[in-house]
Amino acid sequence: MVGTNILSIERSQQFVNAAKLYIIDEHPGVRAALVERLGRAANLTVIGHGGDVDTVMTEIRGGKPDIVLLEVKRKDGMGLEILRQLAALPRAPRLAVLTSYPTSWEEQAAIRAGADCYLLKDIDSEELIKTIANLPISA
Amino acid sequence: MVTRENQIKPPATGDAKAYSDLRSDMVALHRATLSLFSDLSLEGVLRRVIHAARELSDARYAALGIPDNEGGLETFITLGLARDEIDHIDHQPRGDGLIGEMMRTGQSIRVPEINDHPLSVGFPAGHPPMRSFLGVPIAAYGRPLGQIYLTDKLNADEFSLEDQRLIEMLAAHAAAAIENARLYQKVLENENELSDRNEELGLMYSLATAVSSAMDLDKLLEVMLQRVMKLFHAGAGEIFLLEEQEGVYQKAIHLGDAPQSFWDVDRFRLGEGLIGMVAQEASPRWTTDLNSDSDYLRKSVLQSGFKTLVGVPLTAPGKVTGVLTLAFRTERVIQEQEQGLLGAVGAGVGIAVENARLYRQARRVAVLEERERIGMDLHDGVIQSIFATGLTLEYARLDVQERAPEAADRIGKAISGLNKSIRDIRSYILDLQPSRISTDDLPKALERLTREFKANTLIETDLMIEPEAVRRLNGSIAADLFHISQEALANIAKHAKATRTWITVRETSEGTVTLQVIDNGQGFEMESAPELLGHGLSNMGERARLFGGELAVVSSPGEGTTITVRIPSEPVN
Repeated sequence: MVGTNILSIERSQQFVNAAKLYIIDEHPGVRAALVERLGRAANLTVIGHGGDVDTVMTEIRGGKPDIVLLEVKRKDGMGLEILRQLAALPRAPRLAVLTSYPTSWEEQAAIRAGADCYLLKDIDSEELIKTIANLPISA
Repeated sequence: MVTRENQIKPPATGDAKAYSDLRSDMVALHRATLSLFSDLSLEGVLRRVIHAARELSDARYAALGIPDNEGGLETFITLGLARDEIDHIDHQPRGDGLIGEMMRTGQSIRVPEINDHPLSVGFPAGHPPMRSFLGVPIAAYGRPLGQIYLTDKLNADEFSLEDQRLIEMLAAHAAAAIENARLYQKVLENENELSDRNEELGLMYSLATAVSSAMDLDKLLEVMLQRVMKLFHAGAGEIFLLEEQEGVYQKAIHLGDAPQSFWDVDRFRLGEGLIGMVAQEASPRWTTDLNSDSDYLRKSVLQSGFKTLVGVPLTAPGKVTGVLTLAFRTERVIQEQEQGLLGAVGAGVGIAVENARLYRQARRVAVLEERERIGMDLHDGVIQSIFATGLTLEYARLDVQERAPEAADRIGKAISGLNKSIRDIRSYILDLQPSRISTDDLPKALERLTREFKANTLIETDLMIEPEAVRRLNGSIAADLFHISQEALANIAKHAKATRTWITVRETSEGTVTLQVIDNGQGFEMESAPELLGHGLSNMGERARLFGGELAVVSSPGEGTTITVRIPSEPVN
């Protein structure tokens, strides 16, 4: 399954040691914009993206990203469950929640479920890139 | 009409005088007997017996003894002795001598000289001298109830056989009167017990109704505790409730004349102190030894004279939701039957508390769900699109930066605008959080709302709030009223085509505060209201229903619309 939905990007621009990033969001427009913008960052390589739970879990198991960026607010209510399952993977990726608006219970629940950070969807992609690329690698 | 049978026959050998004496004796006896039954207290009956006996027998002294069950006398009443004469007597009769003999045989004793009787033990020291004696037992169905003692027959050396017969007849009536008084006593006790039972039933009933009502938890606790304290005649009481963090019990209410609290702390863990022990064992505990059994107990509680403390678990299926304590100034022993009642009270209050808690939770969930729904809508429909557009713009800016710096600048401004939109929508979502408005804030919040409404719609808006009415409102419904006003104004903006609106919050009658939102717009046919107003109207109705109020909408085409919310409020104190 490796490589099925992987977006082709200009690998020539990437550093050899760029972090592999996977993006989860139900909104196709948001996914496309994130892939485009974050793919431009020298220290990140976007290896895939998806919205559907089964698809993203399969691709992440296969692609072994270093970082997963995900929106926890979902119509199917599975946001926190996806977080938990990712955190339980062997050599789990760093998990960055990126969400539309904050609620304190959701932030607490996300951190408990294994998120490394809880970020808001502000249009400030440089800050976003800096934050997720510098997430400390978990033990 | 007097028949022959009703008359007393003259003695066959007697003369007219004897007949007349007997007749007057019988009349006196009859009168005395009637008087016995006019008093229902045992003490009163005994007094009347002894008076009648002395009068009927012409004795100087009369006395009445009630035997205890150990061969002695439980009660001894005298008549004819002066106060200081009684004081000089060494001790009451002990039930030996002639008195003992009467108890043993159940027969009357009549002697001209007490001291000559072979069984006499003589008088106690200091007793005035007495000579002639007539003793008659009072018995019912062979059971000794008491004895009548008469001494020193006036105008004769000794009591006659007639005297003895007369007093024996009096004794038979006295037995009936004493039994009667005792029965009456019992009935009274039963009645008291019955009214206690009624009070118990009343309490259980009020618990049951509280369980099914959606009463505010604090109010509920107060009413329950008051009733339980009254039923057990407790001087003070407290209720501790299980925190959401399991295993911790927090003080919720304290009533009564004790200091502010019985304890040095307001929280107890399972197994800690009396509260924690009752919760752990889920069974009542009491202590009358507060001095030594007083972990965490305040010194001031002992100083203010409390002696007994009872702890009752408040139970709901599967858990102890709280502990109720009662404090007594007496050394109160809990009867077996009261233990059962305590258990029932604990279960009743426990279920009521659990119910109120679930109700509050359900309410919170309902509001949360609505907020969540709106939040999700905005997340889905608005923030996501803006965010995606913004990211695309950022990408474009990077591209054009080198070639057309001015274009990059314009794109930068567009991005700032989008960011501001996202922040506005976020704060709108967070503003849906209802707990942020209290009654103190309500007037201000409504003022802000009407100001914004006026600015956005150019509809003239008047706001009139009675501060007194707002003070009467329960704090938790301020947010609901705000949201109902918000929905109503939103409806007006969308549908009414109004030029004026009026919002009022007034106390319209004792215990009722009314919120009205009125507009002079186009109105609508009431029959088509559901389709016209849709979700907004049912939301408003639902909110009103949740806090125990009611919402009414009145409208007709061309006549504007009036939305009225009636809210139960706190009484004037």
